[in-house]
Amino acid sequence: MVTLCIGVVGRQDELARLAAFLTAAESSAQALVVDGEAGIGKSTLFEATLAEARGRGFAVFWCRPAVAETVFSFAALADLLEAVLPQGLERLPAPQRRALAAALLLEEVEGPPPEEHAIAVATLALLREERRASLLIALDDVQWLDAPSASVLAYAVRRLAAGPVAILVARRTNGQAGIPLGLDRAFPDERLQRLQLGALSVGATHRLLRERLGLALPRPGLTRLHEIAGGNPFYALELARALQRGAINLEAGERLPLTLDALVHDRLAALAAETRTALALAAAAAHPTVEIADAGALAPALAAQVIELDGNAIRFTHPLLASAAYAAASPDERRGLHRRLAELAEEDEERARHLALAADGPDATVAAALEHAAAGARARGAPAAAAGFFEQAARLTPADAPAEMRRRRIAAAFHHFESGDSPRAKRVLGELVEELPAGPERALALARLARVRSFEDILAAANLFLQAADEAGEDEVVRALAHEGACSTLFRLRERLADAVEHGKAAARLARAHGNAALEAEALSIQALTEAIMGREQASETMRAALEQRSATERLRVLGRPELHAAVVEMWTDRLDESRAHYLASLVAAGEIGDESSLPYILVLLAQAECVLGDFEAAALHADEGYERAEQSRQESVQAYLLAARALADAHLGRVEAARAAADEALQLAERTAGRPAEHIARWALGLLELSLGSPAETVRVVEPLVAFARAERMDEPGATRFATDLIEALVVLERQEEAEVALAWYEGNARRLSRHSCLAASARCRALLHAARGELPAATAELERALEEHRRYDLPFDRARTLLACGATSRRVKQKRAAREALEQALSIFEELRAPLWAGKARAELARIGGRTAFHESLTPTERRVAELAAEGKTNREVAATLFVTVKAVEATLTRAYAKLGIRRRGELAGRLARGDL
Amino acid sequence: MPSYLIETYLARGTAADLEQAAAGVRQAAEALSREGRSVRYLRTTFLAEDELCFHVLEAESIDPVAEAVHRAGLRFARITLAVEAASGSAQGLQPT
Repeated sequence: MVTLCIGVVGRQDELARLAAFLTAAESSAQALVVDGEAGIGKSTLFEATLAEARGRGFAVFWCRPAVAETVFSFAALADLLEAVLPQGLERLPAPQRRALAAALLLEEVEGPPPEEHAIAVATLALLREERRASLLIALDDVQWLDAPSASVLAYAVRRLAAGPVAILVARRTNGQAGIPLGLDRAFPDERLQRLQLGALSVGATHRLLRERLGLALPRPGLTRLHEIAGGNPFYALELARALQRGAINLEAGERLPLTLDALVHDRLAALAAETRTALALAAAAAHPTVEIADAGALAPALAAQVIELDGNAIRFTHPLLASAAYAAASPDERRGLHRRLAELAEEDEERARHLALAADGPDATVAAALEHAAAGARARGAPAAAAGFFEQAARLTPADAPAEMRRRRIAAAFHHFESGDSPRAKRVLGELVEELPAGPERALALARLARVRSFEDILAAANLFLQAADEAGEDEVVRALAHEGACSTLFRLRERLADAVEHGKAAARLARAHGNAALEAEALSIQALTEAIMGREQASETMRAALEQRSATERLRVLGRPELHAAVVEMWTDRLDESRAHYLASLVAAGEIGDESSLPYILVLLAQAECVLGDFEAAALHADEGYERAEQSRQESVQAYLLAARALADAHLGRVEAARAAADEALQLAERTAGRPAEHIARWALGLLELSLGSPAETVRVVEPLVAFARAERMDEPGATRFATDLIEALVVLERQEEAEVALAWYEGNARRLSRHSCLAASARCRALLHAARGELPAATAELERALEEHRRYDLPFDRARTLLACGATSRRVKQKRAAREALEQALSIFEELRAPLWAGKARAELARIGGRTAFHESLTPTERRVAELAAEGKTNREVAATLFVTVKAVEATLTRAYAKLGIRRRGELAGRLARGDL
Repeated sequence: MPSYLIETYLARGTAADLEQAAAGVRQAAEALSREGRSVRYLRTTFLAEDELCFHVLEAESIDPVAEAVHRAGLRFARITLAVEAASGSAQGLQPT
């Protein structure tokens, strides 16, 4: 602790807490937020902690943003990573290296702008590399941290909080503010501390004055000074300096400067005018050096300890002195300073900022420079800064260019959206839509607003895109955006799919005409998806054209890339293994560039593919992981989708209550977010579950509306409507054969037209069941043989097992016991391997019927018998679980096995068995 | 002999810290006395709120007091002449 104490007067308690904080951080993640008013001594403690950490062998990353740097994107991040740049970049994967180098202006921006996530992932990688014994990340004056740096650091901190790390944040506040950088979400309460710096004692103040100024005040004077300063050490020192130069008198009754600002102002006023001007220039600059300010004029300020030099860099000995130096200049003088700094600036963004501050009213040249700076900020992955530049550009646009002003306001709003500030974007765009008359200008605002709304209300977004397409008129660029958005949102709603295709074609055509390859690729791939779900054969050609433009989509999130959309089409068209491989590749690509927001959607697609392929446990895992990520990033519509996928996996796995709960929650969320795909999958899951449980009426209730919708909206790709076969089977069981025939004709017709072997297999099975229900057993047998043939052409194990189950049942009816047993044993083996207990139970029940009577009750284990007895008595699963001190899931699984062995389908049948003494 | 007040900074700590500070001054005064200098330790008072510690020594002049401060290792101490008031009379004050 010795290092921590040197140079620090007073503050023994605080120093002890900081030492303990570092000690704790050597074994677990710890965060400490130090709050205090200006001048109270935060930076002194901050410096002492850095020194102590270095002494203990910590790897230290720190920065201290200045007020002038608040507006410079990634300024603080560049300072924080200074020690490991540029050499650290070489060890990063190429996408991360490019992103971070572009963001920090270490390299020219080439190609698409870096995504903030890629910058954040790269930063995290660099920090993790330096993790030797322990890591300290320290930010002083965090109230001046630029927003892009704050976002990146919040990301990194969340992920570093899993291991030993110390996060120290010092902030100028009275302690009422919230916790910065999301530390309260990243750290549990016991590892997040707050330290409010209070006043120094009289004794510590006395010692401070003696050490720094050699001043030993009489007790009354010391007491009065301490009282005036309120225990603030900086204020006390300024008072003492003023006392030493005779500017004030501490006698009781003497008038004194009441504020620290006034005191600091008086101190600076004692300097010559040219010195004050040089100080104001230094204060206005983000990184002042002796090159920009007159060194001769600054010499008195150096002697008076207002500034100090660090090589060529000028540093104010306290931020209050910098702000006072700037504030002392008149508005005209400040504008002159900024004009000078604009001339000296080497970077477009810095120049633009100074030009804006130098302007005394609207100025077309300055507005254009700000817009140019906005493009630069966006190009290096700083949309928040770009938004700020656009806003300033709009404000400084002359009144005789209202269209320019509005265009810049729209651009600002859209960049706010891209930086994550959706509420602000929505508000500004909503105002513009209200203000503007119908026409191309309003169309652009509508299209931007639609994009923002598409993340929360897809139906509203679709209507806005359609309105934008109507109003765009001759503005082909806006029309292209609106058509692409309309295609995308209508596809997501699964409504008016033919219209969606036309919108996609229009968007692609317009994008091509304007050389916008990225938009053309996006439009083509959404058009291809829509054509594919409609079962249109030209989908493959459209997708091929989209993939040809894929290089133009490298800047897009993985979610928007043609490769991912192509994988969806593969999933529908009997190329599920390829689809799964491409989904996995997309996960890797998203991880590499830090595109976290795409991960939940990729995971839901992967879960669906795994379900169809028969790996239900993997599907459940992917759905769970995706849900957690979607919840973290508040993607409600995708959360619904993931719940539905989880329900589908659970339905296959026979987890009855879990499947029902997930599906019900998915349906509620889907209704709120207009999440059509989620609703469809949830219904599919419930329908399958009820069919598995022998409740065909329930299957029809939940799936019939779904099939009706699919038929009405021309969703004619059978690979996207596999739920239809569950409906058909349920209708057959319920002896509603005509309805079954109608549904089968539609499904089978599509399967045949598109040569979907897996769907032809399922269709043939359904047709066999229809024949069997009518007593047409030879026809049923022939259809089942055809089904098996189609399974051989493209095998989906779960589906094949269902076909074998039907084969066994049919063979049994025609007294072919051996064939029946063979088919049923094959089916049972597959169901057991896939862990589908409800269907395994069906297979066992059929096998038992071959023997003439159900004899499996003798094989119930003691546990199964006990659970069955309790359930037969009328206890709920929860009550059974409580009675036996097991989990509800264990009860469900045990009952499922018992049902299968007993050859029953419903709980109600247990009571009958109990009455007969069969248990 | 007049009294002198030694005013020093002492960070808020334990009773042992105070005892140590007082002992340092007392021992320094005793050592000086053994050397023939006329100085006597009287008491120590600590204001925890202000982190100020006052030691009172009796001495013929300020010099042995300053020497005692030096030997006790008290940095940044302020030494002032103190007037002790006992039984209503202020000893050490000159009549005006």
